[in-house]
Amino acid sequence: MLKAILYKEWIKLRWAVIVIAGLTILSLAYSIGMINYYIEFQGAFQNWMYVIGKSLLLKNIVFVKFLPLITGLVFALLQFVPEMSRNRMRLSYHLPISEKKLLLSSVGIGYMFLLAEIIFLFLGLWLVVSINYPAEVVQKALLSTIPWFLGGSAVYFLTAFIILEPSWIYRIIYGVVSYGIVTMYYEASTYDQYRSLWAFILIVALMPLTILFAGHRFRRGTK
Amino acid sequence: MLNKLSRYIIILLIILVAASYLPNFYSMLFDKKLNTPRLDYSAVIDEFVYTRNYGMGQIDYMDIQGNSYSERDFFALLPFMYYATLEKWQQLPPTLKGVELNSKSIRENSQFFRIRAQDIEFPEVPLYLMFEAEPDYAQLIIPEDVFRIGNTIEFIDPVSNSVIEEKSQRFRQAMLDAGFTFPARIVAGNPTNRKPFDEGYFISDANNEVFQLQMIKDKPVCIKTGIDPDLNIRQIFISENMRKEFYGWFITWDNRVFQITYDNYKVRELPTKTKEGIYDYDADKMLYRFYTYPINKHIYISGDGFMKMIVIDNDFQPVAEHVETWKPYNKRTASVIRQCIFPFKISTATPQKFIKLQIEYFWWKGLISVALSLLALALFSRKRPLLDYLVVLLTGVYGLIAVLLIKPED
Amino acid sequence: MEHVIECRNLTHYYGNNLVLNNLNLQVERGRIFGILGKNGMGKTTTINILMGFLRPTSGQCLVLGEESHALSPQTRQKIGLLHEGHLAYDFMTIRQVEKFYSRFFPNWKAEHYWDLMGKLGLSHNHKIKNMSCGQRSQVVLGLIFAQDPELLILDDYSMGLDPGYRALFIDYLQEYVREKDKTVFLTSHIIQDVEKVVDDTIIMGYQKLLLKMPLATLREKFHRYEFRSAEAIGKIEADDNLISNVEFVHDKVTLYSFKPLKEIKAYLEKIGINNAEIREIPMTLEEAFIGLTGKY
Repeated sequence: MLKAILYKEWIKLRWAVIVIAGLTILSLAYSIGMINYYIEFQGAFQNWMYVIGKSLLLKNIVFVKFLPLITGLVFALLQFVPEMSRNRMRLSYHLPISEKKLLLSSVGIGYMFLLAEIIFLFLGLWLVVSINYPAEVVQKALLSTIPWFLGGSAVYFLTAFIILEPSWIYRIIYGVVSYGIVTMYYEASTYDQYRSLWAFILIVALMPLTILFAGHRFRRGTK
Repeated sequence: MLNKLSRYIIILLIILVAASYLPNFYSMLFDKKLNTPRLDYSAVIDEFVYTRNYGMGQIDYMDIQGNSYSERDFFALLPFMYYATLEKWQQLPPTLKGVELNSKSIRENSQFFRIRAQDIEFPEVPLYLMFEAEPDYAQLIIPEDVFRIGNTIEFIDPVSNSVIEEKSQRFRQAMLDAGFTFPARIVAGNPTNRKPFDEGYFISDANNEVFQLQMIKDKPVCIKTGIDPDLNIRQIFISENMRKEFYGWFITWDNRVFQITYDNYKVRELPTKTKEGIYDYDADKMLYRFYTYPINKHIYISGDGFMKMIVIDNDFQPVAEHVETWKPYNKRTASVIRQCIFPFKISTATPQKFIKLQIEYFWWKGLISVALSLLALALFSRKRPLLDYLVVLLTGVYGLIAVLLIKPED
Repeated sequence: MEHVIECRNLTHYYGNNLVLNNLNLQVERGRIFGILGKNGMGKTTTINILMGFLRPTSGQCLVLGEESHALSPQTRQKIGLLHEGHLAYDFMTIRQVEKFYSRFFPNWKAEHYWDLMGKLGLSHNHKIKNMSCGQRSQVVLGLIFAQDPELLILDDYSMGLDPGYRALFIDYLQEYVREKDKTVFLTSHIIQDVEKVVDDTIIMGYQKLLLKMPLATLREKFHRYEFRSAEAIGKIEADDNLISNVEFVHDKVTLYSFKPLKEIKAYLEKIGINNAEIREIPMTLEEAFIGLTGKY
């Protein structure tokens, strides 16, 4: 049965996955391009000064910063808007599978694709930065991406949650709250500024469970 | 069951956002700007003076005896600060207490440094620049490599992104020969070429011994400074100055401040406490400023609710001290009310410029919020699960808002 | 005979609005059950509760022995739902949707689905969202039949369908149900269709049940009488006993009643209307429905 759900979600996502995969590669290519351009333009040493002293790399990898967020948003919209329009979610809730399994697996599958992109970006960045910069810079750059990846994951889960919620008033409340939370993951102005990431990780880890309440409210028919 | 958990997670998220934003909205609306005095010490009248700025050009110039001054008279009290303007007004006397008073001489004999919370530990990439300490030219040349130092020292060439083995080995050997025990701990230097000369890096080793490492005529020079390893140094700051009085300064984990003098690296402790014993220097919460003037030295320690000033003479003997206090932030009316409404506050900013989730509890005033919220819950909403009350008990008004917004579905 | 559906004291409020008032209803196995009623009388509410998408304010609703809002997955396997508007996964094609659903039902009878799809004449890669209402309804119907459920709940199956598709639907439904001792619970606006298939009817009125009986009984026992009399206006009123409904158009009086003509005549004479030429006019189910619930 889970395979069937994977099948359904894949039908909805497959074009987006391909496009996003392309965008991911483009983003990495862009980052490589930008890094090389700056090295050429500034000279290796001067470039290192900017990278070390003025967080230049954060500018070069700006697409990496926002791509998971956009991907999360797009995937959630593509997966769940078709399910919620005209109450179509009823179809899924009537399937002979427990509501929790249904919701959690739908979200789990979408997140799998997002996670694949995040891992791909992480590894790609590792490669790209290591070629041009020493280990200290690589470490700082990679650590800087973690809050962004968490933020993208948060956007995915919260968007799914907002869409699955049947009432508009609640959606607005959730939207406001989501904005407040997601911005917490994008506050850095320099490398590796976050400490005690575990709290931020825990918050994102709890988010998938919120959709159960939305599903429950749908099933109760409360308006 | 899972549905209940799901609801409480949503409530948790709402509380998180509410606790992060609501207290700040309240502060934005209701906080009033305090008018705090700017302290100084006049060597002319041997008295503390201060200014108070009321905005719109209205400034009070006073001394702590209560005498009031005009702007011109006030500036005349502080020749070491306002010498340029006084010279323009032709009000600068030629000497004061035997010290020459002219722009050049004052500038050459003044120095300033500060220690901010964010300077002590801050996110940085641990790669450094080793300057040639005795260049052929008038200015320092920017090197073409960087170095890292940890378990060993390595110079890296940016063009090839690889280690320069030969140079690294020379430096490594020089450090080992000087008695350095890897891994290095504190690495302190001044990585800019905009300084009059270069003193390299002061580096502490595994045994807390501090060494000075420089590159002189392309050769590594590593000298053990002999600074007491038991001082428990937290961070060292280096600043090359033509006065050559001290290499830099450092703070210790117990908030003592020292200068590293040019007299064979002897350290000199700087004052951090006043006789009153209140507001002892805490590097993580306060600002430490040290002004060297031709005639004396001023030390400022300031923070939320106070400004302390200590004046010492050129032999580092105490001259005078003064403390101004005002209501600290958390004791002002708007704050007190805020603490009664909001039992705690979540923020991500730290004085060290890190981003970290922090909860600041407003003990005991926050309990008022909790009590009122519990009451409100009981009155306005019938039949709530016990867990809802527990949430409100723990989080006060935030929990109340969350729990009222997201009704239990049973 | 065990009840496939059983509702006891079902009550539901929307805010302060009482919509269902202690509704009691039983559906027996192997019967086709039709629920009729004007909009706003609680039809949709009842079906939503039955389908498990609304929690009643109070009362119980058991489907195949389980509470309708908490059906186990195994029980849901035995229930085929047709949602209002013929909801389907629009983003899927004919082939994809069959492949998807078949994984959920071990007794999937694919031949029923492909049989219907053959009649549709569309490519198997045709997306559902590119189909007309009628075509989509056929897909949905095919899926339900392939599922081979014990109980079918069809919410307004006729909505948006033109006569051809409606007829197709009815034909298939009849064939399907008769063969296999299935139970059907349906609602519809098009009462002529309902008339052809339904065994039992329920007609809902404002906060109460107007009627609950087998269709055959309704046909047998519900009468429509007409006569002309100018003086009757205002003298005749509906009550719960003799006259279910009365209509006046100029001097034409139409009476609806469960009682025989004799009793009507006696009543009229009692209230002073003599020599009225009363005739019984046979009705369709739709006319009976209007007769019971009124024209507006």
